[in-house]
Amino acid sequence: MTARKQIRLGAHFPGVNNTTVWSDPAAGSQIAFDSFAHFARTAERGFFDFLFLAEGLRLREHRGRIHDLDVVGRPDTFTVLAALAGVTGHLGLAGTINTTFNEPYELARQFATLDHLSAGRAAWNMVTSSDAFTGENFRRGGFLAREDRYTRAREGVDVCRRCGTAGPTTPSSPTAAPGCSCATAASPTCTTRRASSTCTAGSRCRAARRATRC
Amino acid sequence: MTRRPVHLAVEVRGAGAHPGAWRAPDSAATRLFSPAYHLLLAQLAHRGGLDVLFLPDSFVPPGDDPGLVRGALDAVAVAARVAPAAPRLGIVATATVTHTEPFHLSKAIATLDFVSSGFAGWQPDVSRTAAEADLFGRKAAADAGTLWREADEAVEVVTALWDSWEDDAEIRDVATGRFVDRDKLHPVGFRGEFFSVAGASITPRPPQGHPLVVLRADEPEALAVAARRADVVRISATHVGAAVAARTRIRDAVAAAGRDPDTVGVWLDVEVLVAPTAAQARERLATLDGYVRTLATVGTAPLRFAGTPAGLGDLVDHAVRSGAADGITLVPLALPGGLEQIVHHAVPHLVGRGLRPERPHGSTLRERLGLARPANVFEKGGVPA
Repeated sequence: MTARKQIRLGAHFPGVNNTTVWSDPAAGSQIAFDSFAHFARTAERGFFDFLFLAEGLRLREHRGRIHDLDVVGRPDTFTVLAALAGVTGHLGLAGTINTTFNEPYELARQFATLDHLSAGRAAWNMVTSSDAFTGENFRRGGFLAREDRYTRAREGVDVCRRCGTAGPTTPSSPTAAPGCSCATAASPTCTTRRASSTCTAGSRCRAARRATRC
Repeated sequence: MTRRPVHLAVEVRGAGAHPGAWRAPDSAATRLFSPAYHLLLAQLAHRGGLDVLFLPDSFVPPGDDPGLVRGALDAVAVAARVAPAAPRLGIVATATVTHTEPFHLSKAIATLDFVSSGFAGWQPDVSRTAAEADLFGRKAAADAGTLWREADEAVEVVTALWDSWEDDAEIRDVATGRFVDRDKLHPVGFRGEFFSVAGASITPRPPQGHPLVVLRADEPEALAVAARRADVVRISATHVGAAVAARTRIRDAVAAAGRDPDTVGVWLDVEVLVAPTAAQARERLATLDGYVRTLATVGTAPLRFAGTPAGLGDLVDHAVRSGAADGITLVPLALPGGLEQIVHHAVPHLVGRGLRPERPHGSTLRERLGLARPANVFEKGGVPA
């Protein structure tokens, strides 16, 4: 008999917005670490595959005023996931991270760090944004045309993958995308130069996987 | 007269501050990126009742020397990973401001304060090199004056974002259906020379109001920023006399910035290797030196001590009595053994001499250090200075 295909289960921390009923006296804190730790331990005890955190980088407004009827206030995704790695043992830790208002090199390093600190449990829900409203919280503002946001996202993910996998002996791949080369020096660099992102990633995160005695 | 205890921190760098430390047989060279290694260090610091564990960081890419440890994890994430296992240990992570987003930094450090229940701190630093600039590709490397002007703005906006939620903004008022009082949420509306940030933080005000802000003042360009913005100023000096001069300079700058110098501690770095006898310490240091072909020193060589717990106690006592420091940051030359020696032998000696409390007090890091919880710049309709 063939084994049945099994489903994967993720547990979305309800946190903010209208998905959470806050008016119940038993409703807990949306920001205290205990809430996250309790949720993660419960999901782990129930054999969920992963915990999932959403993200929004500007408080929602309605007619120019901060929306005050729903739960609001959430933690930094990487930081709370790193802490949750310490209170769980085998639960996947999936974070929503925006490719528009983060740079590829730091994302590569942050996800590699989370993967090390959780012994291989990090996951990325990659999202994009192009709205100037969110951009006003960041250095570049609403810099990205809507139609370009997935181009930048693809390049960002590509750079992250290369930072995580290009080793000291990785030759330039004949299948590498145009404009990208992986050097083979003792301190290898992965270089991409394209329209929307420019990054030369001589990777500390990659080196992290190769702490060997010489 | 009872003596004021000296604040005591430890900074852990890779396999130890000595470039040859990873080759020592008792090093953790093969586990430097495992969670267990960082947990071990944090739990040792916790057991020793230290005030602060410093986790340094930078984006500087590894050099070509195959004899040096390469690679490092993101310090804020490491801090968050170990914080739940080391309650009431101050954990201060370095996060650079030159190529990163102040908005992200603000919520990351605020979140570290939540996960550590009010024992978090942040050491801002700048990225000086072209190699770091190339990792981001957004701008060229800049001179120290420009970098620290930008850092000044970054610290200002990060703290403004911490204040963008008043402590009692969350009201959960069932009668009116309002979760927050939006009059207590403040868009920071910051426009500076280097960037602008419009909105309020997505993260509520952290437990300490402002997590501890620590700055180095070794560079002249950093001094003014430290004088305006730091809760603790770190210095490196070749000898105690030089530290006395540096501390005086810093206290003058703090006073010139309109702040009380007694509220800004100056903490001196001391690289350490402690052993039961002075001869053993010297022998151990010679062994570490022997692992390295050339011992290069970049910038000012910091104070270094290799000797017995009593000898370290003498140095700490001398530094504090002569006005060189309000706190000492011990930087173990070799880990994890160097930290074990500090916790098991040096700290008990300092306690015995009355230089350290038997049981550190304080329900937050600020309280531990005798610092007030900062007022919110936005309260009562105020605007940031």
